[in-house]
Amino acid sequence: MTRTLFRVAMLAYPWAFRRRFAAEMWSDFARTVDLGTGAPHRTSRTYRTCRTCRTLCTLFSSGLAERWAATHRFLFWPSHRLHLYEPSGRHFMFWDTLRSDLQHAIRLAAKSPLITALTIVALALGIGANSAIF
Amino acid sequence: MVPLTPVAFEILLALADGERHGYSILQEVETRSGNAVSLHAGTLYRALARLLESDLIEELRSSPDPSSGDERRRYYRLTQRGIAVARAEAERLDSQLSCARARRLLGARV
Repeated sequence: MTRTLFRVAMLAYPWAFRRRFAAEMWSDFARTVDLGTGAPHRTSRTYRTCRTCRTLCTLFSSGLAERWAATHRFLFWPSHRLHLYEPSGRHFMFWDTLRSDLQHAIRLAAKSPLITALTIVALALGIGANSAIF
Repeated sequence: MVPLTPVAFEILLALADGERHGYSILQEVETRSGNAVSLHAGTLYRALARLLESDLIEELRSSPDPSSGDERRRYYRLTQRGIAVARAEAERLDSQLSCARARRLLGARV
């Protein structure tokens, strides 16, 4: 039950953050709320339940803050941090790779304008003819 | 980088002794501050993410204590840049404290 609630609270975090830190956070969370992996239970059940709920709430609110911060950074400074949540060489590469591919494609197109123009004309004729026929 | 956030500086202080994993950092901060600073996992790992991205700390490739039995734990340590930034922050705070003492706001001199 606690594990399920923890997973729900973790949904507030961005996917890349969960991928990088969720296992560690669960381990620390289990110890903090004494789920049999940390110190022996010395407190009442009610107290532990309240503490678990409070920790889950803080986790969730912290996750929303992280999601907002990640969205904000990505929207306004897309290349602000390449190594999102990961040490060098292990970061989540999807957006960085896509951006590099697009830049490369645009540079190649600008370098050979004749080929680019022919490609665009061929595409335009093909799409136009198909649209007219069907 | 300076001034650092209080949580970031606490983490750098906890790592000044050597490499630690996340839960060990939590315990160290709570013990040293006499429970005055209470970190929870969300705050800690958000701060760790910022420090990792800024190259102030780094993750160890392998566990320094293989006999600890928990292979999943990731250990962190200060980088050279992290040490320099922590030192700069400590000097900044020291300068502020000196000023506070000089103006009798702290530790009134006998």
